[in-house]
Amino acid sequence: MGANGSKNRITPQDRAILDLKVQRDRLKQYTKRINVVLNRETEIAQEHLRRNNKQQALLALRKKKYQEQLLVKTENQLMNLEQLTQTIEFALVEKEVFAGLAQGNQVLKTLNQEMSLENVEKLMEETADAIAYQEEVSEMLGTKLSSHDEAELENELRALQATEIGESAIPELPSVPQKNFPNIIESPQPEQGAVSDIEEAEISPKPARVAMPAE
Amino acid sequence: MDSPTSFQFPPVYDFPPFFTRQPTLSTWQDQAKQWQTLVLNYCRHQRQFRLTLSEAANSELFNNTAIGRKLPLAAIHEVIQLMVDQGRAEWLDDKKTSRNQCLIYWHSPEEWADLIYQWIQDRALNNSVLTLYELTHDDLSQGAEFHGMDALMLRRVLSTLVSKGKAQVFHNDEAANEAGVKFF
Repeated sequence: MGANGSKNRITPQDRAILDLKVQRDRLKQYTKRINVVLNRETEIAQEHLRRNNKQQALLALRKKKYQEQLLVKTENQLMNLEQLTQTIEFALVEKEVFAGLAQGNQVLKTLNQEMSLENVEKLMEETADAIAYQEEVSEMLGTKLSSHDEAELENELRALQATEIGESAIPELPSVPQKNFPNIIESPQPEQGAVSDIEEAEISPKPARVAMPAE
Repeated sequence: MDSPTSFQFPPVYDFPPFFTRQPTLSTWQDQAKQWQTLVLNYCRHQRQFRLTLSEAANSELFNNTAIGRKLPLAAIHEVIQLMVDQGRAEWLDDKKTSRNQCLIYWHSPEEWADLIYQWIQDRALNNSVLTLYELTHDDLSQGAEFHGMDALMLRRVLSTLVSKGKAQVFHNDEAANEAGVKFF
């Protein structure tokens, strides 16, 4: 009462959770209290035993037993409360997830409405038409010369070649020289190459021979 | 209170004149400042949120048994009043004549508010309801600096968060002293 601010963001669920949690706090405090009593009863029993007062010691232990039973009951209740609280909190999360899904669903629906199946079909048909048209155009542009034209062209080319050959007879080629040339052909170069080959051949087996015994 | 682990008193604590209110104003101002620092550090170390002056006067804070000196109650009163003026303490008694109890703010309410809010965010506890008991006295906040915070101080701290719109404190009709808080 009166503790609510101007902008209230506390839902009835929050209040329910608070109620449960307050209840839980009370139970927790109660368990603390019982624990204190338990310890005290144990001390009392020990004191009575020291004074050889068996009856009183037994009474204290009986009280302790009773408190222990209470403790177990309380702890069970605490468990239940906590479970309930957690279930509520989880249900709240689920609710939010559901709300999120519902909103997403709505968006998807409106988007789908904007592109009805008929429209899509029509659009696809139109696209196909356009593609076919485009193919036709490019075919026309690419093969503007028919095979008939092609044959005619071949003939023309051959005729042209014939006239070319006819007109310009083969010009006189220079005569082959008769004179003996100096012995350039037997140049030392290939020999050198052969020598280096031999050298390599001589060198290469050596490491192999050395390597053999090593194995 | 928790069993007091040894607090490292400053050297001035073993200096007998420190326990006598110095008549010279400038000296007293300096002395009072040192006392304020000592009170804040001591309370922070002992995790003491509330101070009862008549009791504290006989505690090790104001009573150095080793040198047999204690700060008079009137001087303690003055020191606390200076702290109140600086927002480091708050009187809990309305009547001026019988002021004996105060809250000690080794963190200012705003600093506490930030600490708690950060703690809540680290644990993703925003938007869930916590009881005030749960927040400061249960296992949940064990080890946090604000664990065991005085209930009244907690109210003050939370109210700074409420005014910033970061939290809302509420309670159900029949249980005004068992309030809950929801952080946003």
